[in-house]
Amino acid sequence: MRHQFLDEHAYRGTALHRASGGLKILFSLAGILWVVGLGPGQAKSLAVAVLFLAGLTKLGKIPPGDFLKRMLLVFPIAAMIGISVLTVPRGDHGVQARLFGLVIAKALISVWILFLLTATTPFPVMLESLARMRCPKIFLMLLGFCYRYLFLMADEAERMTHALASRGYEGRWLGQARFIGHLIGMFFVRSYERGERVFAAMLSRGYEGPEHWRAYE
Amino acid sequence: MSSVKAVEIRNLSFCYPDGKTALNDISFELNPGERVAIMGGNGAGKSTLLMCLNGVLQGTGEILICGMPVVKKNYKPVRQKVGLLFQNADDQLFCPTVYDDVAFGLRNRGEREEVIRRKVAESLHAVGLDGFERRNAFHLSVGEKKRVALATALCMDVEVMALDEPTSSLDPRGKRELTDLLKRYSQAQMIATHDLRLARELCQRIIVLKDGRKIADAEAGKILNQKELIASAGLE
Repeated sequence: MRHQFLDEHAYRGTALHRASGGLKILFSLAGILWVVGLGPGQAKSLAVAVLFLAGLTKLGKIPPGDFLKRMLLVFPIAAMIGISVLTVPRGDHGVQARLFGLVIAKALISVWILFLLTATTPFPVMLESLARMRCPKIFLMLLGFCYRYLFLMADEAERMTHALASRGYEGRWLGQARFIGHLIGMFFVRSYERGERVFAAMLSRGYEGPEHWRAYE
Repeated sequence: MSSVKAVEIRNLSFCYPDGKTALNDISFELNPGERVAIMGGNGAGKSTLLMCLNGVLQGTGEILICGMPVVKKNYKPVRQKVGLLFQNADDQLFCPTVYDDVAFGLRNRGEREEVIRRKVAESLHAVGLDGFERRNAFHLSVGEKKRVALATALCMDVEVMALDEPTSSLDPRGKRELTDLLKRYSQAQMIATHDLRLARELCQRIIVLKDGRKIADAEAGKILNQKELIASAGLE
């Protein structure tokens, strides 16, 4: 229960929160495509994007601490992609460094856009908006399940690590790493079993397959 | 009393793919409105029996729900008559909002959205959770989740409620509230439990299972006074 939701800030009443979910999704996708398409000589455009997003973050009353935490989570992945750029020779070190910075900036700005979208749009509203945009039902169903079970699974993983810790596991030595393997294996088995039970619950309430499913119509 | 039984089970046996026999030649009947406790220790076959009621698991033998055989061509109407409540409400509440969860069965039945809205509101009111429509089940307490799970069955106007350990993981107050709630419903109820107090308070009749076999079927008072039987079934 201690895990926070993707859309924990999404239930406020600012103008950004009240805006149509479909419009926000469209603008976010367009924004990401625009940022990804920017070339090395368009640093000014990136700066404009940052200022614009900072304005929207303020308008949406999103706490900067939360926003920075998510950025930090994404940073290692962005840095790995950036490093891969460095392995391809493209002129002098200055050019390489600029490319490295550009890749990281684009990744972080894209995540910022998605964060703003999820922080100002409740997840059920997002699903309804995607349905209106003719998104395939099976995709919406899977997104709904992810939203419902992601944090439950995080709780389960946490309980399993507590069980390991309470039996003296510290994870400091290589010999102890195999327990992580056990943990992951057990986690998959439990998730699979939960999947079976959830499907039984769906059948019990008359589910006959995605083609007959009438939600989000 | 209507001559059509709510549930008729004849010579039901069920074997899991690993060869374990979970149910062995079970037969009994349940009248409309009757509440029966299915009791037995862990692994006695209680949950398997409930899952067979609406065809989620298919054993050998015969099951009739309100006179309708539980066979593939009848799964749809049978599942509209049997409300199955799982032991872990998290397995039963799989939608992003409480509204979607309660509406799930109604949508599968093909109801119109205004009917769904009314029935969801009525069912949530019946379990004391007015205004919970937009909440996510992850944010609810165990007791609230169990009530939402009950609402998912109630909104379908079921005639048989099959409840798997309804009071497990509830605190004493939660148990009391759920027991009082179940007393109010007029549907036939099959309650799989090893909670002797719940069985005594709620059920007129008790069926005891041991290793997949029915070892007793009698009035609740008679069964609960047989200490040896209770002990041999792993209940105390």
